[in-house]
Amino acid sequence: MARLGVGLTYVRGLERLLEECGDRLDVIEVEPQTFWRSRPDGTVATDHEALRRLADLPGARLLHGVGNPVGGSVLPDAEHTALVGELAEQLAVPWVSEHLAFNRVGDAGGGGTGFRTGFMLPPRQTPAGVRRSVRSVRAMAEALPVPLAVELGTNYLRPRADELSDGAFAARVAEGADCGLLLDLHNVLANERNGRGSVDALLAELPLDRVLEVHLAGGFEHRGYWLDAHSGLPDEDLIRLAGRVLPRLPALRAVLFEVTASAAPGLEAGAVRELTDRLRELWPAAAVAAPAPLRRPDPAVPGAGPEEWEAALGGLAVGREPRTVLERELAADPAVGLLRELILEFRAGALAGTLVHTVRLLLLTLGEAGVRELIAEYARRRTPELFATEEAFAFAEHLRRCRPAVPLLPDVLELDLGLMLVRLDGEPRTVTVGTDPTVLLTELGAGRLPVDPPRGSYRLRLVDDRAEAGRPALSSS
Amino acid sequence: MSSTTLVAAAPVETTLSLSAAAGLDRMAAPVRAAVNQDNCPSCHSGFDWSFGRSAEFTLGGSGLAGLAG
Repeated sequence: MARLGVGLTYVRGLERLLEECGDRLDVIEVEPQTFWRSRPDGTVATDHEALRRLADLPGARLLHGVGNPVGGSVLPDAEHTALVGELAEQLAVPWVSEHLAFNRVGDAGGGGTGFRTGFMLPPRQTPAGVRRSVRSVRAMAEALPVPLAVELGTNYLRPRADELSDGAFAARVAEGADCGLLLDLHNVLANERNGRGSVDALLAELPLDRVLEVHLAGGFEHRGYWLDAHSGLPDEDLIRLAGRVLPRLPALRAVLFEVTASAAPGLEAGAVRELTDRLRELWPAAAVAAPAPLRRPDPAVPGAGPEEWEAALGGLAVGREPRTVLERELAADPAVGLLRELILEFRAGALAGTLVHTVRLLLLTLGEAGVRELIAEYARRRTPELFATEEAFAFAEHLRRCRPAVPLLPDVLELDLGLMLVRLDGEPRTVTVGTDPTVLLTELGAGRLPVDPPRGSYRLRLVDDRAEAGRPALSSS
Repeated sequence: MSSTTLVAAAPVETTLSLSAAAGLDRMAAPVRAAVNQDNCPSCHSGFDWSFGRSAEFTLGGSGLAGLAG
């Protein structure tokens, strides 16, 4: 497999950086789920037009899954895996990566008790957890046309006496499933800073000759934790770590810098170009042979099985109260409060990005604290959804039921839902509202509360005109 | 409001295109691109800034209704 080089993970909003740094990028990594839409008929569709625009970008392509992890007892979604596989062939990627984490809790109790967590959570790191992860990795790998590499995640929880070390767990999964590894150096540095164990101890246990890809990112401290926030450039400690580690990875083929779209406006292209140049210098043409990883015998691990772990941690993370012994024990870990906050912020972000005018109206009427409380109340009643639009539909249902005292809310909500439906499938929609919709959209679009907008009966036909400019060509799963 | 963005079919019946609707949103373009999303978001293990950015645009940093600007 040839070396791809140094590059950037693409997310919408990074276009300026990609354009200005294009001559320094050997590879662009694409997160497939960010090109998917959950259509009103329940199918998942790929936005091929957005993908087509990626064809103009420089370098090779890689695919990095962000919604279908392989570290839990619930097998990865087969339809989503198939979509990734199609895309892998279309983009001619040499491998695909996913996270060694879980984001779904199974329906163990029956009666529809399964739920999504809205976040990647750390798996149960025991021999039984290894077996579940190996099963999930194999299920995905067998359905893909190219090899699979799994990423070691950030884990904010305190280390536990009844679990394998992070390195031992990842090593056993990679070897058991015979898959590649994606070593996110920011993740492992964050884990070290957060007290889970040293990076060197982790590296000593990993089969370094399986590492195909390395990620770097920036973060920041929050509530005493170093967050894997992808919020900017890597710090100097991380660059030094890359300098130590890259020469030890004989199978390494790509080094990617990850940054969120939210952070992109604050990033200077010159700094990104400098970063890619430094990473090239740190990555020698030939790596030293990887040392044999340390092997410790599997500990005799009593206690919770993977399913119980996932139900407990998943439930706590989405805000449920602890009931079992394991849940009470986990709830004492301050990381649970952090996870709750991150998940809630994530869900609030999904709503701000989909129900744009509704969230602005709520903010202008209730203030930020009031809206946060409204969303928190919603989140206590409803577990997270995978797609931002599904979260939006569920929140709209909540608003209709709880009817907060916010003038104009029903009309603004109708407008937002109509716009969202048209964006999703391109079909025109007509919404009927009791307030002049042009005034509502213009005022809220400017961040102003509409004052005495004209009232009456208004029918607004919403149409998709993106066809002329290249309407998203959506194909179903 | 620009007459080019909305086309009135009748006094109270109006047609609005997605691009016209997007054109009415005055949030700065790079931030809007970073915040608006219909997809499966990139749920890494960090912080999502979208709601905060939306609140900042709307309330001007005060966080309080009625004090924007």
